[in-house]
Amino acid sequence: MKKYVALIFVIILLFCGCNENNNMAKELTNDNLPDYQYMFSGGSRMTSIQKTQGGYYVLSGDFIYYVDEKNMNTVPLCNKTNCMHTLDDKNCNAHFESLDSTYNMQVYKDKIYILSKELVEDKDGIANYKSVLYRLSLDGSEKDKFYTFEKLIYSFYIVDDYIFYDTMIEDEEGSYESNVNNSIYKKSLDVNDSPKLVVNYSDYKGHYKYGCTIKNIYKDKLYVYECYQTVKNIEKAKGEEAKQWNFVIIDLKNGKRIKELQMNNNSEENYFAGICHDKLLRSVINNKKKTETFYLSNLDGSNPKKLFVQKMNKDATVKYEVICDDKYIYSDNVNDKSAKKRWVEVYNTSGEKLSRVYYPDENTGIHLSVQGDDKYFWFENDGVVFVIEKTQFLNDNGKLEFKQIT
Amino acid sequence: MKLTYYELQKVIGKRTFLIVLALCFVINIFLLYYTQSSDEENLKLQYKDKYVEMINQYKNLPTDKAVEKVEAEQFAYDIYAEMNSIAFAAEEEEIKTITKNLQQYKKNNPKAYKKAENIAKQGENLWEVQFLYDVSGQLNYIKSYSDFIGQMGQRADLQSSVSVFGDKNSFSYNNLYKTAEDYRHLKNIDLSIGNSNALKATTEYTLTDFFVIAVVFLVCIFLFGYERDRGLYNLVKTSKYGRLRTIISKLLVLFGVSIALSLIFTTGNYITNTLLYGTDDLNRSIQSVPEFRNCPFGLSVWQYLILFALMKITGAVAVSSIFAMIFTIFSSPALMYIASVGVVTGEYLLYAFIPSASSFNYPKFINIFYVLSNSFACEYINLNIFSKAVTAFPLVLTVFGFVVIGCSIISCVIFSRKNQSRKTSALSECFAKIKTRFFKIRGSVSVSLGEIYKFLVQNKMAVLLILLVGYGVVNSIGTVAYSYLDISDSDYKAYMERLEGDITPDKVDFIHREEKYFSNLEKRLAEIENDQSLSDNAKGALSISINSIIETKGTAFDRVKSQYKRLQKLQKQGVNSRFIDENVYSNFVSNSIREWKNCAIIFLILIIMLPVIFTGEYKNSMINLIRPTKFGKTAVFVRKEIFSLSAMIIGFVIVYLPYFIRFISTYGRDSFVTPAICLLEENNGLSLSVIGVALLVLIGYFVLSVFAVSLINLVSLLLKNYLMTMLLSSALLLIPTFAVINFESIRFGSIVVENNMIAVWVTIGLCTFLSVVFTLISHKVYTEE
Repeated sequence: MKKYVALIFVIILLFCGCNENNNMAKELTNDNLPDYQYMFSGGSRMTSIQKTQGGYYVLSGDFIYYVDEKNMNTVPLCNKTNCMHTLDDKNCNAHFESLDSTYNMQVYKDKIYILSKELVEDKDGIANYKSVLYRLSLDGSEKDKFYTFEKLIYSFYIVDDYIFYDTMIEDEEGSYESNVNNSIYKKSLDVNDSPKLVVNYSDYKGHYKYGCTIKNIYKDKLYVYECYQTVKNIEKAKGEEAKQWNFVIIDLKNGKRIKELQMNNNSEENYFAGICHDKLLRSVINNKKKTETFYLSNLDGSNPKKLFVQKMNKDATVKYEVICDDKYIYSDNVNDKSAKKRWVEVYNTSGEKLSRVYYPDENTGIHLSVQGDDKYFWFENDGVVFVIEKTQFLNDNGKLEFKQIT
Repeated sequence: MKLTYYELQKVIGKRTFLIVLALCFVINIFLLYYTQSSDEENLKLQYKDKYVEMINQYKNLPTDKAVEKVEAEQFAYDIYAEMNSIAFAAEEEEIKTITKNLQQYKKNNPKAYKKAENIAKQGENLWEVQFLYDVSGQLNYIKSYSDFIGQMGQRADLQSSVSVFGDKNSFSYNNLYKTAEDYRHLKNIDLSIGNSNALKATTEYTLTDFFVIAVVFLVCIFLFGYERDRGLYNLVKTSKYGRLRTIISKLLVLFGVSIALSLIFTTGNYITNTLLYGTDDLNRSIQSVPEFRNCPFGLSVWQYLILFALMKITGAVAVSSIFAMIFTIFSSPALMYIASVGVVTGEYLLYAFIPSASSFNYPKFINIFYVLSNSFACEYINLNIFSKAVTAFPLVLTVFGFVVIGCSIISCVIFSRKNQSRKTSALSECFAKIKTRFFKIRGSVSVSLGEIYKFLVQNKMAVLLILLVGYGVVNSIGTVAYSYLDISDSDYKAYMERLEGDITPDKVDFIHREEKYFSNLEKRLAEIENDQSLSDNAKGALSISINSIIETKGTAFDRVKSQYKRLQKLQKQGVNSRFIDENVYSNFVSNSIREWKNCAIIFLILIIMLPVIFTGEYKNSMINLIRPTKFGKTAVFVRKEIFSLSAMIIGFVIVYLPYFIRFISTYGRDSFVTPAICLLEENNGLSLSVIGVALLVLIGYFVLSVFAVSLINLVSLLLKNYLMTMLLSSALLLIPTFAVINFESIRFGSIVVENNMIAVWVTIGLCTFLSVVFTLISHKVYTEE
């Protein structure tokens, strides 16, 4: 009997070991890159970095660059030796004249897709801006106009051979105002296919000026901040209820809402923080207690597991910017009004603090915002792109070193 | 040889050819002069001697010394600018700083300071500032060139160090190193500054190519079309050397004349530009000119000009071989014209609209217009042929060499074997059946009916008219888009939908209420900021929303307010001012793209339709039968003229009416009576209403179309040949139209809106006068021959 119990115990231990291994983050290699590279989503409709086999593509200024993964050499994506890659070189492959200011780029099935905003004249000579999607070869030597959208769009995401995009204007409104009744559409990569509505905000629940900001897309789920007015005239609103935000999880395939969490509330506010090893990292702000609690839940928002709690500033503003990658969670004290030094604390997926590293004194304006792949954090400061090697973050009490890329 | 001589005589012995050649040459030179001199900022034209003098001043100095000297001159202008800025300084502190700076300049740079003082006394020479900037640019370019060339290998190594360019079997890798290798021989060339304006103007001017193509087409008509139309091929081909030797002689003459034409036109352009801009040192390297940095050939400027001329010759010969092939394949003049224009248009569209980096860029580079353009010799391109980098220059020359040889061989074979007389097409046979079935002569036919029959049925213009009507109907469906260029445009549109029309007390109240609304918004912003009951997040959100309203709707309202103030001012001046949507109606009264497009289309329609009216009877010599009859001269002529004008009116309505139909269905007619002055920022005295401006613009284009009709009819009567008439009319009408495509001020809409009524009435008057003169000359030619 004792032998059997011991055997069962050993077997259980073995399974625990297996689970531990399964919980280890799978490194993002070139072979398992997702359609939409969630780890480079800027969250504010900015995707200016894409990973590919052998390197990274970076949009900066009016140029596209390639960064080699092995040696981190950066070159403009132009294969002409007789080109100086400046604005004077009209035929430079790396140069884009009319990049959309939101820097939308995606690498998908060995092609680079970049969004541009161009002035197009119709048969009556009337000029209007159109969003145009360009498709480039991986070496930048071939560049074609792939698709011209009927309306101006904010951003696009290619998943499963479909382009998902959120529009800026509705048919009748014609307004460019952000978050004013924009909708989410999809169309297949076949240019002859017509767009289909995925999420329609034009008349949702009788609210006014309904709109959304797509935070990220991961495994057929759309993570969205929705915003709407409960009153028609915002200037007459007296209180908190006038403008409502929700953090919503939507099924990408059918546009159905899986979960809806309130973002502004007298007691609790829910926020999206990132995707961490197949889990959703989100935070809940408690305005009364002035705390921000971080949870790791299933991708549909269910089964949240509490990780750690952080205090807010005295004026109830958030002290820390928290992001994650597939291994760790990083808390940057960028908004800590009482802090004398800038640092980043690293937590594991069980909520245990592993280390604290410090920013160089001269780089106080920078903070982590894009989760990046397993190797680097990427950020842009004054038009210059930098990377930070992630291995530095586990060096407790160490100082971060940045490498300039562009 | 004699055969070749006789074929040559068929061309240069024709007065028509010499007149057309002279006309095209003169128009080409005129358009060249016009495009150069119409730029008001072209100081290099106005002060060409000063420019040449300045170049000579710096040319022989070592580059570093020249740069130093130029910078010192430019510094004097900087000091002068700072001296001037005192007048605009608002604060005492600013004045003190400027004064201190000037004192330091005086102490440290006395020469530059003294020059600045002289400039202040004598006045600034804009040309000197611009020329110094230009010379400085040239010198800095020369300084940087050695790095550009010397570091090519390093750049190739750097680019290929990354994985995306590192694959040795890829096009990108091959391109990097091949480029570096192909430029290696330019490493140690000497560069010097110079006056390259004539060179640049000559190589950038592209309209000449269309004139050359038009004259080459005319030569083809003389060589291939003339004998066919007169049924002489049956005689020619039965003679001893009537087949292969004849066609070879024709081709030799065609190529020889094409070469001569290219040389004449290119040389004419360069001489004209040299007279305009002054001479240059032609012995310096072509790479001395910044625009020619990428030229891979180690040539001097004069050698480059010869290469440029050779490329023009190559293009002309290629075009002529294609035209020769078309003329031998097709027997119908209409098909010849359509095929020739189709090839030229197709090539042009492929060249102009395919981006150079497109995955499908072969048609852009293996293209006649690429060969004819300056880029062919001056830019370095490698094409991706199975991942190999192949230099475009020899490849394209080889391809067109094969094209010329291939087209010539086809022409020879078809000419030798095929019966070149006109055959009836299936369409013609079908028309003949309809004719015999439905149109029977019962007694005499009136002149008018006869002309209608000849035009619509005999010459199949009914098909064209049906197509045009179809085009017009399709074009009438739909709406006219609203232009949303600014973030506030949709709110402006909403305001105008409320306010458009007469200024009523109701609308004035609305404006006052909106003013109050926006000032309350500002107050509300302040209240929100001080409201302790709101969280920071809520404050932020509400403030952002309200600011968003101010930035969009507020901006739109500012525009409305500013329009209201202007309208009030106009009302005091006695104008019946009304609110009007500026975005919509500015485009309605004047849109340079729409106006140009409509004018080009109407000209094209007239060129295709009208030549058949007068030339038909000359072709089959029926004119000799018609003229002696009772009503065979003036009566026929008048009816033909009326018929031409009727056809023009139909075409004009089809082209211009659909836009008005769509506009009225989209925006209505309420604002048509609004004085057009309400659209303008400043009162320039324009007294017409919106519809008045639109109608006057229409009248302008109508009169222009009438002029085009009279011109085409005159040309028809002088040339007596359908194809030649189409060709010459294209050269006289379409090419100048293309020349002014980028000059937006050369539009009736623009001239009327600027209230430049003198220009309007002079143009209309001149067109009317010329129309009358041409018609009278046509009448004389028609009736007295």
